[in-house]
Amino acid sequence: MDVIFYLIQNTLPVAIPLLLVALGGMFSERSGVINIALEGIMLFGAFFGCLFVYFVQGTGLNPQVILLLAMLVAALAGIIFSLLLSFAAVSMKADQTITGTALNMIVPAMVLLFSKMSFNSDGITTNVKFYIQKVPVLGDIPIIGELFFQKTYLTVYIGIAFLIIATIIFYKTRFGLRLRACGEHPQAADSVGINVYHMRYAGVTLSGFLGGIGGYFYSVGVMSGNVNGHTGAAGFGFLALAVMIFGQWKPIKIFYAALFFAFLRTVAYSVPLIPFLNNLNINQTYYKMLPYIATMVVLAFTSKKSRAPKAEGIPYDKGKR
Amino acid sequence: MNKLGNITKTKSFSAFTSALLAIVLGLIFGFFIMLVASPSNAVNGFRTVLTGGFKRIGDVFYFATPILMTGLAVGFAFKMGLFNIGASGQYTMGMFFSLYVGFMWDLPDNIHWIACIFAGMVGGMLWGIIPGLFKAFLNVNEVITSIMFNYIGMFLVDMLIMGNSVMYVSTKARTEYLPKSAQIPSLGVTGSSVNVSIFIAIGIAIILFIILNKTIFGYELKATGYNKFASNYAGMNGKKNIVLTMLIAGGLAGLGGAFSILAPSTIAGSSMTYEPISVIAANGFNGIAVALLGNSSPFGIIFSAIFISHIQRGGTLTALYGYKPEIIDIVISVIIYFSAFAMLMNHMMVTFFKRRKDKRHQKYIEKTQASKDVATLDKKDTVTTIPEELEKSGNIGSSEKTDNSKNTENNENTEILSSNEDIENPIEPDLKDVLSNSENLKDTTPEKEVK
Repeated sequence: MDVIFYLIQNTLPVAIPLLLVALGGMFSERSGVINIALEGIMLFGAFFGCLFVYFVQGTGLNPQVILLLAMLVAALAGIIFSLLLSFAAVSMKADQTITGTALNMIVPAMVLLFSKMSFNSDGITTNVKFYIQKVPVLGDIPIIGELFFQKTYLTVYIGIAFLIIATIIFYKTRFGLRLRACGEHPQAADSVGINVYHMRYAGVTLSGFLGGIGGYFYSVGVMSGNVNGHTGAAGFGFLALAVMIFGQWKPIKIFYAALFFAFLRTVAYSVPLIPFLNNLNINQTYYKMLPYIATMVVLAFTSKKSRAPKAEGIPYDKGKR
Repeated sequence: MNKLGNITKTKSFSAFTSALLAIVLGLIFGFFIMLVASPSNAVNGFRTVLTGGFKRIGDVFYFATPILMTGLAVGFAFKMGLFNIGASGQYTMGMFFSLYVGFMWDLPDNIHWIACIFAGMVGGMLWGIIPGLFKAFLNVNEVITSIMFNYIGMFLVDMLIMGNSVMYVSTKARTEYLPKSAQIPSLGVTGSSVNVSIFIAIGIAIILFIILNKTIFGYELKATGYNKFASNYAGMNGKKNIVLTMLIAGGLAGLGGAFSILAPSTIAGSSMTYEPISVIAANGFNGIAVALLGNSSPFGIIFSAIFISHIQRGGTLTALYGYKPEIIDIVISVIIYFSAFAMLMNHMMVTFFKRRKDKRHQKYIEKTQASKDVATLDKKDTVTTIPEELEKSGNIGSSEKTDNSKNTENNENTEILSSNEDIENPIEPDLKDVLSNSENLKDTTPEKEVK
């Protein structure tokens, strides 16, 4: 039983970054822009979030307040960085995949350069404890309290809140409908007076917002508050893309997909603690490959009937029919 | 002068200028980063980036070989419209297979290194064909697949190497150095690591150029890259070509891995040994930059690989001024970023200058409006006279060329046609006139010949 508690407690902080980043990818792709740069956006957001924490950690603020402020900094950084993608992909009509790859490459290099030159290390190390041992009242509820309100991070609750907000924006507002229209048939959207360029900018900016926050939450929940240029986001941005495809570009399905992948990863990294798997005596590296292999298997089965936005990846050109 | 004008209008020239534009913008950005990082040394550091490579030409070629191969791997797939972002994984696999054959097989000296190179190619092919199969038969986007296989390959190779007691030395956290027989022959330039593989790589680039431009497979490949549906409609086997392209691309990246690991190096730890540190090989991503800069053409890739290697050498030398080699990674990724829309920027710049030129021209026209009108009238007269002459000459030419037998056939055909037309349209006078006119036109040639 303890093992199950342990796995669930550890799955959630891993699932939330995946969820947020995949939601970001969803906003971007449903507006018609493929966002491969999520990996870079994550690391960029994480770097600035950690940099902020590094500067304020001596002031004695409440850790949870620092977390919230750093989250805002990371979101801002993510938005600014995502503008590079939307400028190239929407205004300049460049190849979205190539631009995204370039943006993914530039961030680790920048992080390494600045950390090496200013901190003489590969990244930023902070020492604020964001860990919540027990949420005051809710943590005392018998089983649910132990599962969801003990040994956790504030990021989990913020992530769930973002999921709800994103779902409402996506399905219940005029903006969400227009965004989806731009990803399916931009010419039709344009013909009823929707500015496709603005909508695509909005989609990519939202993905920058969520990607930056997701990146910072990754460094809080997985890297215990540190950021490193070499390991970066360890492919979480790409995994998030797979989560998004697995979730068929729909918020709630994405949430389940994120939980699935996060659970696999948690199992992979806690094999020694699980007696059953430990007795099998398989090399732990196989488990580390598991999320990536699972992605392949899942994609192989879902891609045939995939419901990808029709106009994704195609730069919108008013003159074209 | 006219010839030069023709060259500047070709597509490859505009690709060249846009690559140049991307490079210049990338270098400018790099200079700004250097200014921000350490203002006082920026000028000296930047000069080192640009010229540092000239002091170590041998090393420039030595480091250019692997990225030339990964560049070809990316560029070749690009021609097909596939984005082979998995060159890193294929490269790592190539390294592993070469290492395995290098350590575990006992072969004669002259054959051993060749066997190692081929093993590397097979390793790369293995990792390249899987995304190809996924794309062709399961419709999975090759970008996601090959990224996943980058990670799987990295973990797998690290695990296999750490589990092999013959190769791995746990106290040094890296493999043993390869035996002498597995090393590629050096060119013997003192103080550098340049070896035979650069010539092999350039040879492969030339072979690829021939495949792309002189074979049916290459033609089909490019046709599929231009328009997938049209080529499918024309009867080209898209699935087979996708798998084959990824197989070849994987093999090229694998060769890159083999060339880099088998090279006899004077720089400690840069080759002949592998360090499992769970990081994706950067050379695969540098291959993307090389391919984009070279406009995916094999010859362009040769030059861009040497250029990238050149600024990388310069970048490592900037350590003298307190900079880190990552500065070049930034420059390279900015170059990729700009080269993604450099063609468009190039086009915009050209139209901007043209418009200015046109405006100047417009003013000139307005000034000399009256005289121009007369001139155009004259021109019109000459234009109307030309077609008649052409017709005459054309008739003469055709009559000389064609056979007698064919002409009689033609004659019969036209007669039958004309009779049909008469039956079908007996009433309408206008149409009939037109038809009879056209009949006359058609009949002229045979009549002359019969005479």
